[in-house]
Amino acid sequence: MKDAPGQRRLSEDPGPESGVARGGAQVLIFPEAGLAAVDDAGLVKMLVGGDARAPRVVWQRFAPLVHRLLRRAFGPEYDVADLVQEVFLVLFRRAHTMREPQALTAFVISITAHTIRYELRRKTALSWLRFGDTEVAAAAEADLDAREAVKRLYRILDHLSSNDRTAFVLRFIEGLEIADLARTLGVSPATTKRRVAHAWRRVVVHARRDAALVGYLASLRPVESS
Amino acid sequence: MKPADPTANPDELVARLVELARGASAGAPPAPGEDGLRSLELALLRRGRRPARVLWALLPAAALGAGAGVYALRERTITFEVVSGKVGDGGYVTSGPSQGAVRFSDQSDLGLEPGTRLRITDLEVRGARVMLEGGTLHARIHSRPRNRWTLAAGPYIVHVTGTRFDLAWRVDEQTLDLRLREGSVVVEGPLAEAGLKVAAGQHLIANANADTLSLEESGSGAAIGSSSTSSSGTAPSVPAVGAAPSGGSTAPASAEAPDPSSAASGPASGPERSSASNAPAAPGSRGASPSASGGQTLARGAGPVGHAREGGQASWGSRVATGDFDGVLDEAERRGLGRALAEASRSDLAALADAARYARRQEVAVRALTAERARFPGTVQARDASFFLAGLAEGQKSDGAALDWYDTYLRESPSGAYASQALGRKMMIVQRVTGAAQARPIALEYLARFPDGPYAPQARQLAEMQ
Repeated sequence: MKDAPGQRRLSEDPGPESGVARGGAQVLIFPEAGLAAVDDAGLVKMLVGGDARAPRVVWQRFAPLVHRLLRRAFGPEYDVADLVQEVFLVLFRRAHTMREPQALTAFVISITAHTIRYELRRKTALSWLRFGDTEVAAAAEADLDAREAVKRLYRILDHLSSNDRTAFVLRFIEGLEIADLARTLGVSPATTKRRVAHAWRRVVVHARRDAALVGYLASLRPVESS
Repeated sequence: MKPADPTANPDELVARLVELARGASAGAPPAPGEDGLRSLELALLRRGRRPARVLWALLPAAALGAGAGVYALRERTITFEVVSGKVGDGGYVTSGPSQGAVRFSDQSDLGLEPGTRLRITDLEVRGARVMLEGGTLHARIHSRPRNRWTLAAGPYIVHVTGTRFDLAWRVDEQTLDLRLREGSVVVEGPLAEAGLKVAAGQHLIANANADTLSLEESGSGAAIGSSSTSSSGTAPSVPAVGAAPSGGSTAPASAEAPDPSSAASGPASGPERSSASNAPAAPGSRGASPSASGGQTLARGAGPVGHAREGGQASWGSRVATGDFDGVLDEAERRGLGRALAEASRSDLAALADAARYARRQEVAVRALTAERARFPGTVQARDASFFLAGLAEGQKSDGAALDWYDTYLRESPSGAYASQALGRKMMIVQRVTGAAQARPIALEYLARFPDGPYAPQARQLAEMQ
């Protein structure tokens, strides 16, 4: 029988890393390239089992998702590199607690959501410490560029509690369904709906107060309803 | 044609905001690639012990190979029985309105205070993994070689060999409260990533929300928990929580590094550990710093004012942390503000000051901060108070007073947690009041000391001016 490309049958290649288990059991080691096809449950198994290749595969699979979630939560100006690292460190530390290894994606999102909430609390505390420094430009005309509009949007999100903001970002910007969001946040669907509704109301209220932002939004093409 | 007003339709408004956010993140730098992975691998190496535990702990077992070994291991895995309490879905053990007790076959046992919830998630040959979901437990872990007992509470993990201790996890406050009675444990978690050894007689309080951690000598002080006697007989009978912490015997903590071998590499090992941590203090979080004037407890009443919480009322610090600023202020005023300022414990006074600042009660905030400085001179809280007083003065357009307070803070805490903020604010005020030329030397100092600080852009602008 021919092996899959790149696959190594260790019994034919005995060496220091032969991987031949005690009792003569044959162990196959797949190169990393082949690991991309491993499903989430298998990946968790590798991670918990101490497979040294697992962190890299997990990183390659989930770093874009984590990065995007954090970017959307904090805005493009925010340096999220350390937060991305933190998410993965927590993931590796907590992998063994997963009850449903096939739900690795949900687990990653959940850790990311927790990291977002934690970071938002830190950020809020920092803003308290700068309470003398509120140099918000007066709302002017609708001539904002997108960069300034984004800043104003995230300033609005700064008004939300960490829970509400996380819920808003994941529900509206990331597009998670309520049930998934509830699982991610670790609360009931009813609580999730309340949180989302509360966040939505606050965003609307604050956005309406920002004449410049509203003016900018009005200049955009209407959003196609999906 | 005039564009449509999106505010007329809130759904449309939100939809456009969402598009804006998505567009912004789409234009952001690409997701981290190999560089990020390398950083992660380095971080894993630095934190080696933890992932190693997670990732590699099972390797020896795997090396044991097949059946017989596994069978033998299973044979010796410890068991437990819930002597008193309820076992719910998902393996939850709850003590209900009365105390509970769990007894293990290795002669270890856990006493649960009323209302405590925990899960026993793993049973091993030489230990178990217990997740304390909330409440207080009294643990007595039978000492055996190569014990592998761990108790997790929130982001903290307590590694146990053989010891007796009280452990509380207050979910709402995200506060871990650990009091060692015998032996020692190693705690991992925020500010103790490298593991912090806690020895008999020591009392550790860590707050995950506020990113604070304090370790103090508790002597023979009160245990955590209620005063009622254990009904199971497994937990020691303990005096009530809230009693003055060890009276006057509270010693300056060996908080900085009780065991250099275990704490030196952690980020929490430096002086003024909690206040100087990277994470800025969250509301209500200032009161946990160990200081030279003696240890203190966080989120537990210690003074005459803060003591009136027998009805289960949370501490002022924890109430501030949950946003109950008005509640704290109301309670202080009910008791008499003057009395509160004169008698409140250091942590309560700090919480009162925070509550007043956050509720924009400037006058009360100034009085509380001034009282902090007068009553607890030399402490981290007193030094930090000058920074907050500066902020209050600045908010009231009192530039002179603000500058004085910022200078005071910078003089007293040149490496304090708020030093970069204080110097930055000072630079901004000087620029506004006396002009860029006078602010430039401060900007240069700022850039030399805090090149990546929050006021670095403004400092650079000033520095580049001729």
